Amino acid sequence: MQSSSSSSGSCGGGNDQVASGSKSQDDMISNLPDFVIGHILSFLSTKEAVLTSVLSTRWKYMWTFLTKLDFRDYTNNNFNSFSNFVTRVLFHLNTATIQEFILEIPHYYDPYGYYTNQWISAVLSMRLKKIKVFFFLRGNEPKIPSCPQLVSKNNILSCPLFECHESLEELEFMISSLASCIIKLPSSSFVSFSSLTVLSLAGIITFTSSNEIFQELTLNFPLLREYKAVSCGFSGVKSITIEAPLLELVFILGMEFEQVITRFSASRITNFSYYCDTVSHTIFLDHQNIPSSKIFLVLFDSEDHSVEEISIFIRKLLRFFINAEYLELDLANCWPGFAWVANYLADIPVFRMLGYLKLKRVTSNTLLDFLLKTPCLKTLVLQMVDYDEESQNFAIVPDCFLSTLKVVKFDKYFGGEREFSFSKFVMENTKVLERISFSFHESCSEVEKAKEKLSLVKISFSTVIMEFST
Amino acid sequence: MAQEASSSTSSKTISLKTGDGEIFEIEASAAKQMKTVQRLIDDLGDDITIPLHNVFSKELPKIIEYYKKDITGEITKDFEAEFVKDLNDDEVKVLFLAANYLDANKLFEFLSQNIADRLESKSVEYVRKYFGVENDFTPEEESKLREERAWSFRGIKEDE
Repeated sequence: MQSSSSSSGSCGGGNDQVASGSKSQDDMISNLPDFVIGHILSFLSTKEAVLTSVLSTRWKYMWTFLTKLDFRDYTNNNFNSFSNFVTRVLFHLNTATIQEFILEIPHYYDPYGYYTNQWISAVLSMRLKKIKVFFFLRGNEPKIPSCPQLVSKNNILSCPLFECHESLEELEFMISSLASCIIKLPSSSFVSFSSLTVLSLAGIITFTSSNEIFQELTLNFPLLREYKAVSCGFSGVKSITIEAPLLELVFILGMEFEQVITRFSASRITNFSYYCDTVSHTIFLDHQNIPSSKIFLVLFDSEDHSVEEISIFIRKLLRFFINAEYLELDLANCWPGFAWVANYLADIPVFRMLGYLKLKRVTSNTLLDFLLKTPCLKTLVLQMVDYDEESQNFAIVPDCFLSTLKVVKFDKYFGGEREFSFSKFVMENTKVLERISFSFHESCSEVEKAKEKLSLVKISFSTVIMEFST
Repeated sequence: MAQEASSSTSSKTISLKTGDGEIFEIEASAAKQMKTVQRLIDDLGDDITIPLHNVFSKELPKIIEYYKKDITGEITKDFEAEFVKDLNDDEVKVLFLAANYLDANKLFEFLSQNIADRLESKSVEYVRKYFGVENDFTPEEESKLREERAWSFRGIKEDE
């Protein structure tokens, strides 16, 4: 993290010290070279570091050797005094390297990012390693006058971040959803940030700077480990390839814009979360043998695609994660008509390593489709839906019932007939079950009756623990 | 350099002698993390006891303890919190100066952060006392400066 060049505040080494044991300790720290003290001050918030200018004449400009800038204002105060402060600090800075620039302010301070653009541009050439911009919302902010001209001119946060593409290690832009922001990329179909390890964007739309529409854009992040995109999108391109061989964590929540194909060229993903509309976007992962360990998928469909389209999407996505150990899938608002279409997920691949499966809002037929493809399942957590479905088909007992399934948990149990017959199927056919628990839905009105009914089921093993909770 | 320290084997130990004459042993791989020590080893050889005039027997054991954990990769947030928990302000300063002298980067960074944490939200007088700084501003100069930096002073408690 710390380079050994002298300007970035590494220790002075023994040579700078006058080796005299009798000198008082207190003085010794003040007598350290300025950039060393500037380095300590870098760990304080910039506001506090600047305070030290009042300590004594020697300290008046000590803070100008700061290597990290940290501007946070949670006090809901006057923007003008904050902005004057920032501008003064930036003006007086005496270092060639600023490693970090952190800005956390209420959104209304700088609704269109006009000032933020200027501030970031001022430090972009200083070999920045980390940029974090966080515009937060409070309940009581003054209204931001709408200014369609500004918005459409893409003026918001359009500083040329690419300038620090070699040094930047962490980039976090979290802008509230009130305004969209643009990150400009150079007009090329290949963009590389060679040191980036963390990329976290919220409310951002990435845009290529020129007016050319590229068919394909490649983003090359050789050291990237975390990729988080909340309500982001790529405009101006048809497909994007993210090359990130060390990528471990992917988190995508809601995507903007038209159909864009996103391709991840990453073989080490261990944690993949995707909370999106299903069919509008296509996601590809380049490697089929990803040793993924945890997958979270919450899918919904806002445009009434057909069952065919949705199933194809789900199957395609699941196919990338056949080595997953943990899978959580919520078919949230996918067309309720699924209930009528039996076995639409019958063609999913086999998940040979899956030990934990959590399925929300599924019918028992879909459940069975999954169970037939998860031969090593140990824990099953499910929340079944209330819909009438085609008749349940309990002809085949899944392998995992016979050898591995130990824990089954029903969430939001309603006591409906289909739920009950499925739980009966589980209890009568599992051979190594250790625990089965039922957590009742808050609007279930006949809890005691349901409990009784369940207790009467003959479980194949008497040592199974049955639990109830509300 | 003429002599390469035996850094390939981690079982080799180096002898360090403090300014007050006590001798401590550290692993060669830990010595590598302290650039000043490593430079002395390169110059004097690794069989000789390395003299450290500016580090004393009070602080060297703590530093050795830190780097022992570092070479086994066991430095966690909990360990770091424990490490500084019982140190008073002066002891942290002494360690910080020693880390600077020894050019021990990781410890230096960690102690910088700790000192900064100790100074967070403290009054100007407190910080002056901490660094042993004498205030040589005239009252007018000081109040003018405070006014200019008004935004910084919001939220800082002042000693009486």
